[in-house]
Amino acid sequence: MSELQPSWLSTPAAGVGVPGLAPPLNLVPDLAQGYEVFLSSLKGVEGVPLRLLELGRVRIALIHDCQPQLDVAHALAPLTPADRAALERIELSAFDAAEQATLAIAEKIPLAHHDITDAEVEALKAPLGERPAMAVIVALSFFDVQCRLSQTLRAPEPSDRES
Amino acid sequence: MSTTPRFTAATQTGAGFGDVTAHVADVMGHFSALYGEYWQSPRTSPMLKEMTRLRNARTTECGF
Repeated sequence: MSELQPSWLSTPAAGVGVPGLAPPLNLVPDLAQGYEVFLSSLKGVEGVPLRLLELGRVRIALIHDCQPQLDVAHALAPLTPADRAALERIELSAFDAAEQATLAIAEKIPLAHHDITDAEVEALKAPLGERPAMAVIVALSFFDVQCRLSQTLRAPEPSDRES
Repeated sequence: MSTTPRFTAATQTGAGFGDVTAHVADVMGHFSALYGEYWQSPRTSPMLKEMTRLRNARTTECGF
């Protein structure tokens, strides 16, 4: 498993640093730091519940089967075992309107982004407003990037090396 | 895929990608700084970066 676990809740400006950043990404520390600053800024957008971002991040990680991202759990936006189970089963009824709208778009971002409909975007804007909805879509897009990057950079596991 | 804008422009200058994403100008400002750092970095040639950017845009059917 890769050690790459870039997190939208890390706070490099406060000296906490990047959690579990993989050695390959440390080869470009300026870019790694800039990415963390960018991603962390999403949590400062007024009207965007952190739980909403975390639900989207985990759902996208499930779609990618991205274990490094699935291993991350944020204390500031904790998901219950029931939340995780509902995300695995795609039980949207377990979530409120804004969460359902977020998850509907998250479902398509990784592999079917052209299929996102006007109605799905409107369903996100309705409960949140335009600015928070934009922030959610930006976050979902980069949660997808994180999984692709994480899985591309992953260190070979023992079974890989033996084959 | 929709051909009509899904978000209003947050600027008075147009309705392009930057005008729409300006709803979260602070966030995108951080992204622009990162993107600029990437493009100005001498680690990889500009030609290689542009080639991969265009290939990625074609693969994802993105007008950019």
